[in-house]
Amino acid sequence: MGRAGLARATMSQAHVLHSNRCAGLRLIHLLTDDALARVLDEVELQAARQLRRRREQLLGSLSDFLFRAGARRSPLEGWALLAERDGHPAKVYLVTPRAPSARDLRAVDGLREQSGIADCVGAVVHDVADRDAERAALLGWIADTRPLTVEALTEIGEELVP
Amino acid sequence: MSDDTRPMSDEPPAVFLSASFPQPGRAESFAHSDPAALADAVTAIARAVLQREARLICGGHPTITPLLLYVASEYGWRHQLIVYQSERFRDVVPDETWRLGRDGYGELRFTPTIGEIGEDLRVMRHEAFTAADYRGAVFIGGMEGIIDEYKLFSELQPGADRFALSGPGGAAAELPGTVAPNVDLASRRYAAVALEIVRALGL
Repeated sequence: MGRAGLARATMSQAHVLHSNRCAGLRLIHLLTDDALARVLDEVELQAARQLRRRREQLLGSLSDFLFRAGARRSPLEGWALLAERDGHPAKVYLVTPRAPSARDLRAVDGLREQSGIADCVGAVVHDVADRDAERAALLGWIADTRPLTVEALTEIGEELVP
Repeated sequence: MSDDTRPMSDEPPAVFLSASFPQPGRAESFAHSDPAALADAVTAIARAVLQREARLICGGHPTITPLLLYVASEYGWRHQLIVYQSERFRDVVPDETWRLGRDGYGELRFTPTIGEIGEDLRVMRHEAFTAADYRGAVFIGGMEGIIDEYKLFSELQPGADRFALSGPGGAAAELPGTVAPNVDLASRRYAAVALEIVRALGL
């Protein structure tokens, strides 16, 4: 790991096809195909790790909020959990590390149906600011006729935690 | 803890953020740190504070400022970040820090250089810690500098709360934190911790 926790891949001269120094610029190294593939593999691995971490953060914080609100929580497949609180309908929460999508709504709707609990509702939980009005309208249209919502994690915390 | 006796001010409430990534090779004497957790914690605290329309004030650490810019720009929160930087470092200020001011997300304030690096940092911290009537400060990760900031902040803002998160490790993990009900400073669920902190600060 390097500074700020960024991953580093150490390269030797064997990984360099050739080097050029442009006028007034730094030395530029052109990597071999193998070396470039290694860098891309590392980028992919780190991105996958970060996505997993974000999901864990979302699910963990959500679980804390629900616990504080007195909900019983059961883990479900695919980064989701079922929460049951006295006086409230059972609710399936699915977390996403990206901006919520129609696919997320479909997934949480499937989990809600699989629960077999009458009146069970579903929510896609995120923590990103999505400024795509067209996507928001699409999600609203999908959820309009189903017991589904799209909710920001912070809003859930504000609502659930006294 | 925050209470109702705090003097009223026209300015939005202020929170100081003291955070940095421990550097490999220099961080052995502090608690093991997790860089990804540190970034998660900084992001969560910034989101929670800025969402409450409070000001978030910090020193211009080159690896922390880009995270703050990312949060502010993601949500379009403007004029709430204030970054203090010593003139000593003007020539090495990263572009993200300049962008804070240029794009209207925050303000970059330079403090004079008077001598050795330690003296310049003390001047910068002194100016930052006396710039507002702080509700509190949050300490995340870091090394010796975070301990210095904790001590000076405690001295100059004795009435403000201090939250030292231990989850991401670093020097902050060894600092005493404000004892506040419902705030679990050891938790690794940073969105939940951030909500607890902003509530404890009365934001």
